[in-house]
Amino acid sequence: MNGFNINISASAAWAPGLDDAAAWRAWPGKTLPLDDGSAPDIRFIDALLRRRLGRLSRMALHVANRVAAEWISLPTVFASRHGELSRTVSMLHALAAETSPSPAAFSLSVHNSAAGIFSIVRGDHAPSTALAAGDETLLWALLDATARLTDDPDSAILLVYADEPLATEYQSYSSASASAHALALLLRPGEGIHLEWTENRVRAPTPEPLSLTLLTHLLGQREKLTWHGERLSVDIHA
Amino acid sequence: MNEASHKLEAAIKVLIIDALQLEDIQPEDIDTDAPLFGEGLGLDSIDALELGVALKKHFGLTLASNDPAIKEHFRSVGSLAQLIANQRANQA
Repeated sequence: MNGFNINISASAAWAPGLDDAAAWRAWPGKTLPLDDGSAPDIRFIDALLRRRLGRLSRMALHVANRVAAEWISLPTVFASRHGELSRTVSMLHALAAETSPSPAAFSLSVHNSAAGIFSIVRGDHAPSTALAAGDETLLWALLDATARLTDDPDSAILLVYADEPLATEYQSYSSASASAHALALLLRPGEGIHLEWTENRVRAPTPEPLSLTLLTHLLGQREKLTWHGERLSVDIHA
Repeated sequence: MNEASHKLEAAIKVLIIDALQLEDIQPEDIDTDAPLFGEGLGLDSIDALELGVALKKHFGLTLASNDPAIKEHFRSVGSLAQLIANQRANQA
């Protein structure tokens, strides 16, 4: 048996059309609203620092701030399946057209873009990791976060997960169509939710990412949920 | 101040706002002779690179990264306009 427990003491989620907790409470059982391309409010970040951020980082930073605003310092895990791939695509287009790629896009094309900006904005030097692990990204980000908690009851870590649709050029390489959404979880020592994984030999992958299945569980809709990935199945239960 | 150089300065201000995504700034907020970097607009080294790419693309500006005068050329909108005008005059 492979599993671990997590204790979520606060959470925030954002997707186009799902701005606040009330909207999310009415969401389970439905698909996400149509993506209108909108991005969330990140006015807690200075305008000069904010201007270059793309939607993925804006979503990640928005939910991160909603959970972490009252904490002076928090270690973080920033996780995303595809990260800032859209910036890489724009730079590849520039190179293909034999023009210079944007230095600003280059500077924010790395996987820890949002993590870096979050640290700068908050003046917080706490350790941070940036993870990607295919369709299992959230599972291993949760494990990383949980493993970094200590026995100290004051111990806490912020996990931020964000994804957005793949660029058209890459869509045929991915089985799942990512939709724009972000989730922030404040994890504390203790038990609350049990996550368990087994090899998935037979089931077709669940059409939604693990993050949305976990959100459905958090919103109290179903006591036990199973998500099937390309390689693993994950049980989520109390 | 002739009309051509005035137009060039105005075009550079618009380019700075667009290329550097300065959402809350209008062309008239940028003082032609005020420093662009550090103080003034508060632009950083990535902005300098981005602006270099944009100037090359829009005005055909040629920049040599080892040019010792490059810092002085990028000091203000006025100095950039001067540089573009000089290069145009040399090519003419």
